[in-house]
Amino acid sequence: MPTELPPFLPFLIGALLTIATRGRLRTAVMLATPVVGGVCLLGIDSGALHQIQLLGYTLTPVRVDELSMLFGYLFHVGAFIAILYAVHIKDTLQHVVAMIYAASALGAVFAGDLISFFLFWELLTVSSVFLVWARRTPQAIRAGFRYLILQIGSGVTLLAGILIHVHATGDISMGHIGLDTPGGWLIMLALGLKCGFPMLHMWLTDAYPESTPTGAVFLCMFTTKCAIYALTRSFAGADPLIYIGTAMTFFPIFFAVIENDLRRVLAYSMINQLGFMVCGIGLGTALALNGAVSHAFNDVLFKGLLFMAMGAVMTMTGRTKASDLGGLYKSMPQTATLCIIGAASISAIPLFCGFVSKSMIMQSALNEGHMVVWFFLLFASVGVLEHAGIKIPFFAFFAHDSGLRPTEPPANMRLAMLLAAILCIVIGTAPTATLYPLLPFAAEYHPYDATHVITQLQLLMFGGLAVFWMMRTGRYPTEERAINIDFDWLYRRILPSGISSAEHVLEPAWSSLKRGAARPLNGLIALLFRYHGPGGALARTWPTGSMVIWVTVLLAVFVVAYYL
Amino acid sequence: MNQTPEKKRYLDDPQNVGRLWRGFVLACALVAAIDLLGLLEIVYHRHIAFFAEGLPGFYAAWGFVAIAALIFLAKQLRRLVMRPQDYYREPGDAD
Repeated sequence: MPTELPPFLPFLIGALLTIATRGRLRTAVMLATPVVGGVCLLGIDSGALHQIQLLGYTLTPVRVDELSMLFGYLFHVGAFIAILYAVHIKDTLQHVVAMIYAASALGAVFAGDLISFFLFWELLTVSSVFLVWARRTPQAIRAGFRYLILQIGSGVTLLAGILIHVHATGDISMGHIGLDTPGGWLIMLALGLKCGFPMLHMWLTDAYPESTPTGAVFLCMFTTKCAIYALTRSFAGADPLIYIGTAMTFFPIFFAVIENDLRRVLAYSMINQLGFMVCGIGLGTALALNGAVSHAFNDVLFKGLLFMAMGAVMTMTGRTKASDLGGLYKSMPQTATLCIIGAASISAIPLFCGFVSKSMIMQSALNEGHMVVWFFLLFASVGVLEHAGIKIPFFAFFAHDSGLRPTEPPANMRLAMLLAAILCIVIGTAPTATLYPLLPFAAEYHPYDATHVITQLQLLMFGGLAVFWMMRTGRYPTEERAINIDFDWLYRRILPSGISSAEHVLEPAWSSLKRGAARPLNGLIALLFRYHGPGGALARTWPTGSMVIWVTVLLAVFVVAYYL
Repeated sequence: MNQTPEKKRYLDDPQNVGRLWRGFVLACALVAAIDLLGLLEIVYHRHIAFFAEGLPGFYAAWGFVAIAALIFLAKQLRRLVMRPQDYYREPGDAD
């Protein structure tokens, strides 16, 4: 059935219907939206579907090709899982903004020109912040504002980049841009902010853990993946991305080891996974790009699954901190099992989906001769095992018994997690029948050969051995009820305390300046007051008679002067 | 509150945890052994992209050392970045 329906439209209609409906009808509408959207997407023709002439430019709001289709499928699957996970809550705000958020993500990956892309990019920002605010705690409100400011910063940078780029090239199509022009650099910076480039990443670790349990699932699926899509489209093969990506895989793992809030551990882990993708985009070969986009695909599934598992823990216990949790497997065995599947997938254990995508990027780094990069990536891969593969399930569900005995989460949440877990395993075991045919670039890859499986098993098992050995011998860092400062320290601590200490320094200076300046000024004011004040000589009311006298005197003086 | 005492789980017994631990160590040794055989072209043919991969037990050693280094460095990082929960002096911080 060929359709010409823009892929974002079903979700916008779904959002409107969500406002109008309640109860079971709303649940049905929300679940039907990604299904209907997905069916329409299957029948969509490739090429530029819609074009609009505006101010002399040809806008292409919908352009369909293999790369956008991959993300199109991904966002429909992700949206279905996340919606299923969230349908039990009775919060119209969250449901509606989540639908608009999914629509804007779809709009962004199908946008054929930079102006349409920019509009959807901004809509992503505006809709997603409500998923943070919807938690309605003071921390969430503040984190939401910080998130909004940085995201709008990304939008403004993108707009500036687009203006410069279009002015220089006259081309508004959403295609390869590269780093030859300053516009290109600005656009990359804007995209980089949304996918967590080092030192631009702090909004992610700040805001995502403050969002609602269900909101975090949507958040981890769309914004950053749109940025990965756009980088793949416009900056494939840009050398700086190799090193930026490597840095992204590397630094968050240290923070993840010592972080107490498990959803914040996942946020750090997310930057690490995005780093692998960015590195793949920088390498720029067909295999590396396939690795980057397929890893984005899998990341939505396994990171979504992990955020869902932690969201389930949070929903049932109200806690997410490692120091408060532990022993939950006794009363939440299903959630624990599903969480372990997510953890195995992100750790790239053979037969789970992370294995079949991340290895493409690693292999490309070797093929291109980037040995140092490869060593760093290998280090970061083991790091993933530590913080996401072991720490998350271990501290939530095992470790020391917290005494908490929550029940399993609602059925819809478990079903959503189950769906994600099944996809993780199906893609992991049969990639050539599922994920690989969807990949947009032409490259052969076979993840399952004996060398690769054995070496990967060695890497992970000995990494695990080290973790458990350190735990058993007391070398592992204990969970501390504390926070760790990150780059957001600059504007959460240094800037405010800088301003207040500047106030302390400047306040006395200002008062003495006022005092010093006041003395001559007060004298002047007193002088003026003396003559012009109510009783002043120059402010007195003069009788008409004195006026006549003075006129007479003046005339007399004039007559005398004339005769002389 | 009168609750029936919770049934004892497999993992509640330290002896069982010890058994699991020994089993895991054994499994690691097994994988390393297969790898050594692979290097000698027994069991399977091993592809090597560059020299380090060909060293015996390279991946095992890298995995172990990387985690040990990661955790050691992360503990040092704690000295630099760890702060009390109310550090940002915002209402609700200590929750």
